Amino acid sequence: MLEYIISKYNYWMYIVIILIGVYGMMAKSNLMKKLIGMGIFQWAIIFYFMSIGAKKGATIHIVTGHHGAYEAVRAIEVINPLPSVLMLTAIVVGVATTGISLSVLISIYRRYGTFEEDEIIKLLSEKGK
Amino acid sequence: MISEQFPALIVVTPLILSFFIPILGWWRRSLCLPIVLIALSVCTVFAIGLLQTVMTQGKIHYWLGKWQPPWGIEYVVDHLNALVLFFVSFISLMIAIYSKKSIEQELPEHKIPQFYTLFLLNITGLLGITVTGDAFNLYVLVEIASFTAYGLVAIGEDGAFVASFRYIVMGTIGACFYLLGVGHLYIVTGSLNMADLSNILPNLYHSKVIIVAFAFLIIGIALKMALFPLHAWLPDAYTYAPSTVSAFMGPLMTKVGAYVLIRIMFTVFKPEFSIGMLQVTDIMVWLGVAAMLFGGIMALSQTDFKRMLCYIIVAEMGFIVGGIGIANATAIKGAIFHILSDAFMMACLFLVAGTIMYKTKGHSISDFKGIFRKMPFTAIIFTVGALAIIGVPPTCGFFSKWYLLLGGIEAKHWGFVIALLLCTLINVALFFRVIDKGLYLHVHALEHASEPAGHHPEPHYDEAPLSMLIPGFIIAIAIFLIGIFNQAIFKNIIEFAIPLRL
Amino acid sequence: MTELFAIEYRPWLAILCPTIASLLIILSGRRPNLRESWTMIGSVLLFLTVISMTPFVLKEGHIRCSLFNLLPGVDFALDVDAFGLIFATTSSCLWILVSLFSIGYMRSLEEHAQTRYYFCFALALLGAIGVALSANLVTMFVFYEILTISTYPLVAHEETPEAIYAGHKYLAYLLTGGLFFLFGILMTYLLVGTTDFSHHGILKPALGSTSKLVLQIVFFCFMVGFMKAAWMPVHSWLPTAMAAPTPVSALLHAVAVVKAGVFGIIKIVFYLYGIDLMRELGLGVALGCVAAFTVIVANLYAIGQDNLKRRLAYSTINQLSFILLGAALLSPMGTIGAMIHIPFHGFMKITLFLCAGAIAVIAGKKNVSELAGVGRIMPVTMMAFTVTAAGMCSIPPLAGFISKWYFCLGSIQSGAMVFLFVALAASVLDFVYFFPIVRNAFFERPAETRGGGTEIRRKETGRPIYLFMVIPLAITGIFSIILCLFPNMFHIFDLAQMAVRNLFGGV
Repeated sequence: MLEYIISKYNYWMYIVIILIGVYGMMAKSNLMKKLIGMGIFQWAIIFYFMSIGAKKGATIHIVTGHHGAYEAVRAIEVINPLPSVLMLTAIVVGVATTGISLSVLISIYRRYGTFEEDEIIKLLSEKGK
Repeated sequence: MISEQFPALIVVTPLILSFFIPILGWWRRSLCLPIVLIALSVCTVFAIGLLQTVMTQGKIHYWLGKWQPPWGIEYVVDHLNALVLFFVSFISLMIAIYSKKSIEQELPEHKIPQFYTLFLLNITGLLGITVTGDAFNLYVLVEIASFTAYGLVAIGEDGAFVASFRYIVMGTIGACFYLLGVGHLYIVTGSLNMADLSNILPNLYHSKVIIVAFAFLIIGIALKMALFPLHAWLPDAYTYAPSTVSAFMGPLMTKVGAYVLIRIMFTVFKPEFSIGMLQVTDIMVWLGVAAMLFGGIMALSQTDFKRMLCYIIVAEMGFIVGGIGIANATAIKGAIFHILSDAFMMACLFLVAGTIMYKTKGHSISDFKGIFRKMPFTAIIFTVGALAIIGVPPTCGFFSKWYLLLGGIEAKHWGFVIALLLCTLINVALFFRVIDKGLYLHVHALEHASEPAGHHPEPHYDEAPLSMLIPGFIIAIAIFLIGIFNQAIFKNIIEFAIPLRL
Repeated sequence: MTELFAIEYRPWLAILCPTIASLLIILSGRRPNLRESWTMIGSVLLFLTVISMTPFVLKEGHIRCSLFNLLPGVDFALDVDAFGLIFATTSSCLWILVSLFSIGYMRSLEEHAQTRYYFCFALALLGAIGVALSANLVTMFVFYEILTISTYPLVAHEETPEAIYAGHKYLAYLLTGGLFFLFGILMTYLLVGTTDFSHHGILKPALGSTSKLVLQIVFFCFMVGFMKAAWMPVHSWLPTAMAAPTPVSALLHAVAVVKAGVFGIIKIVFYLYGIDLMRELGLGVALGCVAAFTVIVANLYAIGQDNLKRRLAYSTINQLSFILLGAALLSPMGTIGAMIHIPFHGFMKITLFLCAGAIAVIAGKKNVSELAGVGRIMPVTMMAFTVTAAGMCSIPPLAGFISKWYFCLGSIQSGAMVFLFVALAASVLDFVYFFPIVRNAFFERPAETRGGGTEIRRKETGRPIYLFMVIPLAITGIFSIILCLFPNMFHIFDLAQMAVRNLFGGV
């Protein structure tokens, strides 16, 4: 059992990180902390994808050599490029999410002067009356 | 031939034009709306062209940049998504026409270009989700649609920021779950192309990874389409959003989510897997039942019209998911037809909500007081939408319910049948409450019951502008036409859209 | 142009008349005279269209025309046959008279929202005519729902809390019923793949594939679905709906709504299940028991009502179940009785309601106990009332006599003597609650008005607008005598005989 865990230790770590992220999003009432939780969650998934493509002893997929004299690419020596490429997109997406959420948070802070969810709800319901 | 490029153009046209909006809008604000209108009418023409091609020649495969799948991104148009493309572009065109007055009133002037940019980008995302045949490309486009949606919600009235933030958190979780699911599939198959996946996967159906991937995908989509019990973000977000925004997101976003669900369950995975092996459909029926009843009851307890509509969306998603879960040909036909008809019905009702908002500056049910006298045309549009949701023939709502019920009885799933009938009754109560408000002006309190009626000041005629009424009328007429010509739609499109080997 | 009026388009013409009338009404809402003339023109045209189909149906059997395909195996189609034509003739003829009366009633009371009223009235007629002429269950359902929804604003027209309550109750009952109806249609469709009505019933083949119990449950669903027939214990929306203006009550009771319910049940019994299947499943007896129970109990309720309109409402419940009872006998004579009682009861009950309305407007009386001496100031009205009340008790020479006669023959024919006694007992009870009204109106002196003030005594000829009310009720009153002496007016009797000949294969 222990061997099983250790042999895939990277995946187990991602699970732990994802759970930390979920905890942050669900349990914290501070909106900024929620956002941080969300970031952790997203990054865990990105790590996970990178692991899929990784190989022991392999390198990143940059073809070496000079003009006109390329060496043949040997698959064993480079990591699987597709996950990395996909994750480039996912990183962009993540950054964009963070950006949007931060701007929303700034607006919230300007309007309500706090990040605490329960206080904001209280303010909103008072206004409703 | 340009018609061969339609699958790409339908996404690229609004994408490119959306970049011109802030530039030209900065120079002259009145130019924003025409650009949107041009983009969306072109999209509608493309969508009609695609629908025609699909109906005559069958499936269309389009390789972006001539890269062969499974390496390149492939766009596939078949009967199912041609239909979705059509209603997405058509309804968004209607909403764009409608948006002019409503946006001018609700948003400060400097935000108008930003609004239209996001609006067009959102539609780009929705069209892209529909047309793509690549699982990862779908993720990117889902995110485009979601980001713009977050932004659009946030420009709404007070409370919209918090609603938008909640939507961001929930939406991101959904997207990440979907991404995780795609990742799992990629580990075991090494492919992201949907058609390719569905060829490779049958040999791996017993692998645990596949089952986990399937679960992640379904949960991710369920979050995006606000399936009960993952609907919590929806009522707040759509209630506080500007009325134009809820008018196109309410009908379209969740419906496109439902389309993705069908795509994943029956195209990427085969029915043998999702129905036969996992039997996830049983759970889905009961989730659908719970969604219908919960949505209905919550809608009953609302005093705000838009929020009531939001809970009706939750209930309507229950219809669709329940229909998919019944998993016989009749019910799935019903579910697909309900995707189409519900998009039109919800568009109709949200348009009315926006029109009322335009005139009375509020969207609670009490703002409907006397609309049958004050705004008779809006009231007619509203009545058509309400009757369609209730499912009165010959509106389209009746026929989707007919197929869903028929499928439920065929499968002897009495829980679903009874819940659907109950939900219909709840809808009756919901809408006649509003109609009462609009219709009866002379309601006396009990103590004045002896006074003769008819001597009260009549509310004066105060109708909304034509640019808001015409889209509403077109959609209301469409509701009838879809109902009356439902057999044409079933025979030519939906028959081919249901998965084989059911 | 003449092709448009060809016989196969006539049913559509009949549907179009009230539709176009309703649109014109709503467009000319600001001009009352124009609006009312649209109603009148629409109603007269509708009546002429319906009547013009009669000779053809008598000769050829039926007119069928379908518009488009609604569902696989189900067309949106109209099929005019003898029985449907009886109902259509009744409704369209009475619409003319009720419209006349409405003009008088609404204008003398200066009611609000008159455009809405006339609009919904025309739509309700669309529903009723559609139900009468539809060729299959789905088409019937479409029109049945139009009828339900369009009458809702009419029931709640007064907009007082009780009227709104009545409207809500009306909707809740009838739309719940509609769901049962829908379920029944779905089951029928699943069992036999079609919903077209046929003279021999269509559900017979289903007995091979499913059990008797299922068919019995489906029949029960249809019964609940046609809650409009107000059989007990699902009748209570009808007395509550009396909060509506009197012409609306006339619409509910005589012209459209409850008749649509009864019509629907008879359609289900004969044209969906068929006589053989009804006998085999024992459903005739079951329906007969429900109907007989309602006949007696409704009459007992009626005796206790003081409000004139509520008393009439219970009388309607009684008479409707009487029609159902005639059908439940499953004998040719009983069926003729049931079919001709639809128009006969329509004419009599509309007279009674119009009288009640006229009394309420002109004399300002709503309760039976206040009616003392009304006969002296409103002689024509009370004469019409007396005549039709006698008709309700089936005294010759009034229309009610003929239908009861056939009904009694039917119960002897089918050997169900119990139902014969039920019918006779019902007549006696009818007499018990109608007689005091007539006696009070003519022979009692008006009670002293409290406070010593002199009561304003308005006569029925007091204002010209009152004539709009008095003349229609006089006409319907005279009709209910004529219908007994010449039961074949508008070929009603021929049509009923023809329908029965088709159902039973020769009388």
